Amino acid sequence: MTEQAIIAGCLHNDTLAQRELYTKYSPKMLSVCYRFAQSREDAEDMLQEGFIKVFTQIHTFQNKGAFEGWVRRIIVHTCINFLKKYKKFNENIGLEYATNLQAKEETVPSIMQGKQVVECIRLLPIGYKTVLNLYAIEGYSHREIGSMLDIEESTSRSQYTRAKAMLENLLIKRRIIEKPKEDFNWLATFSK
Amino acid sequence: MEYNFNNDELEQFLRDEAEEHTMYPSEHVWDNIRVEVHGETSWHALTFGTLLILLVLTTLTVFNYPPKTIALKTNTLIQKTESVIDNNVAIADKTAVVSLEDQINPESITRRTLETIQQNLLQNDDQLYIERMADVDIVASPLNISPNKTTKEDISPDIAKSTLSTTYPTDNNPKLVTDISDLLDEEAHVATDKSFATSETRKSRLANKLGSPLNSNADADPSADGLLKDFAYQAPEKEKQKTRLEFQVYATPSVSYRKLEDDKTRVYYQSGIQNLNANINNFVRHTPALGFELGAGIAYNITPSFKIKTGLQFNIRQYYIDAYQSYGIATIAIVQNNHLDSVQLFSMFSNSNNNSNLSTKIDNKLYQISIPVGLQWDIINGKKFGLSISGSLQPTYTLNKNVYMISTDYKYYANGAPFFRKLNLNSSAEVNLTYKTGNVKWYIGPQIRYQHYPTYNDVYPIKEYRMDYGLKIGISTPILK
Repeated sequence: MTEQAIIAGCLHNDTLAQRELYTKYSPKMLSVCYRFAQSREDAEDMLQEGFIKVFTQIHTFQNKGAFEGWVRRIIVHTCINFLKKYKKFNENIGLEYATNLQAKEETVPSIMQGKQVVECIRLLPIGYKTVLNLYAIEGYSHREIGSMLDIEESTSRSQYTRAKAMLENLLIKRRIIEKPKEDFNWLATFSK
Repeated sequence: MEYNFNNDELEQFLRDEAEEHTMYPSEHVWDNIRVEVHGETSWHALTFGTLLILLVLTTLTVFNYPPKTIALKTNTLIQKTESVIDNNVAIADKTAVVSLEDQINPESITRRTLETIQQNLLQNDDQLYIERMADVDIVASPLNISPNKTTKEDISPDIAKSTLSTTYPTDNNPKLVTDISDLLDEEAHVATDKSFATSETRKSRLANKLGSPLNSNADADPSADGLLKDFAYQAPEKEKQKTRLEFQVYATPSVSYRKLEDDKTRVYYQSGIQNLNANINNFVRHTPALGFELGAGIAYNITPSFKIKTGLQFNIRQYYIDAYQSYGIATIAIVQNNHLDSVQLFSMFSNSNNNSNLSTKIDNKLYQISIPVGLQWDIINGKKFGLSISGSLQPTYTLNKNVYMISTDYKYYANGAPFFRKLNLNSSAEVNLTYKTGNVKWYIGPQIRYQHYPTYNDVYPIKEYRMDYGLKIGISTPILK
């Protein structure tokens, strides 16, 4: 079934078309939810809420841009609303936190790499991972993130910087990425 | 392990890895979404089936209460007691009712015990007899005492011969404990002094002995009947008589067929219409499916063999449509006000397989309620077996709207709700073999049911008529008064 047929069916509230749309997009969207959520159960709740919005608001889709992008935006906003009910995004946590995270030092097979990266993101404190998810993966600007999470734009920037450093440490620890080689400092050598 | 990142590369890496990652949600997530968007799926048949069963059970309970078996038992006992009383002095007939209770009382004495007591009585040992009987509770003892016997010695053998039903005194029924010697004295006194029968003294003494208050109304009636009233004697109820009304309940498994007719008036307004000379029935693939009727009603006997009847009936009628899953626009050409118009409906099912679509079956199902009004003629009305024919007209209301109709170009099936006729008229004819068991008459026979108006309204040019062929099974029972 083509995407246009699915959309047409969903516009007529047809269950078959809705099921088709759900089957097509739910695996990817659940992964999006999972990166934001604290648990799989929370992620499924977010997904459920998100798809209900998709089906009930599909008439607002105006064929501008990709349909998947439209669905994804609804899902992301649903996740943020879900988290807003319970969490604060203003917390600042030191980089030392990353050293206390339980990340085993092991070589990860490349086939598992995606899952491991997602798991590493989920290990971050909630404020950090939310900003990191929104900025690095979903492509929102710091200004948009600030307004979405009700925080200052500068807070979003600083949290992202810390989150990225923390995540990099985790990924190195899990040998998913290598520690970057330090540039040779000619000036320092010369001064000695 | 091949990356050496600067900041932008890390972001790109994260994005790529996150995009690759997918997860599959649990099945209940979709179930919850479906319920949230479409609501719980309701099954009308269950609701109405339950309502009908409740209706039938309630009616049967109302007409059959109290259960006939118990009523019959009580009746027999009371009548038996009454016949004994006619020739003898009346004693505590309240016990007639008590004896029924005693029959089911585990403390009732056995026949062997009775025989022992009777043997003791026959030994004509007054002292022993009185001592033993003093501890025995008389519960059903109308005595056959001859009027010319006046002393205790004379009537003792009669007592022994009479059918005593006794129980030993227990904590549960202390009020029934009676001193037999006092009673014997009293009976002897009754036999000799007729004036005693109406005296207040006699009544109060008996009341004291039997622990039951006396009815003051009995004062006006000195006969045995009056005395019986004192002890809450209940005259046997008259047998219920049949009325002219009958209660009927039935179920009819049936197979539903349909007939399609295309009026093709649209051809006069537009040339080049496809399928002009084709018979629509050759273009569709419809399969009959199983349905059923469930109903209850009342019949009124105008004459012994002719009755009029009505009731409430729930119907499910359906047939299957072989179609293909394909989205498209179903065009319904309609003629209104002498010009051709068209309605376009979204369709999910195609009648033809042009694009190798998935084949599917559509269930064209109707849930209906109808009120049949009809006549029944019992052609043969034998002792056990019979034969009857009947027919009815059935104003019918359809409960659901999700039915499928074919587009006028015969290409698509669309939801026919906008054209659907909610009220319709059906008629049925049936022949039944009947079999009587007691008051219940069973009947079974073939039935045909026809829908008079098309399923869709007159605007839709393709007329669909439905027919059901079924086997009716039911019972009828007279309503008693």
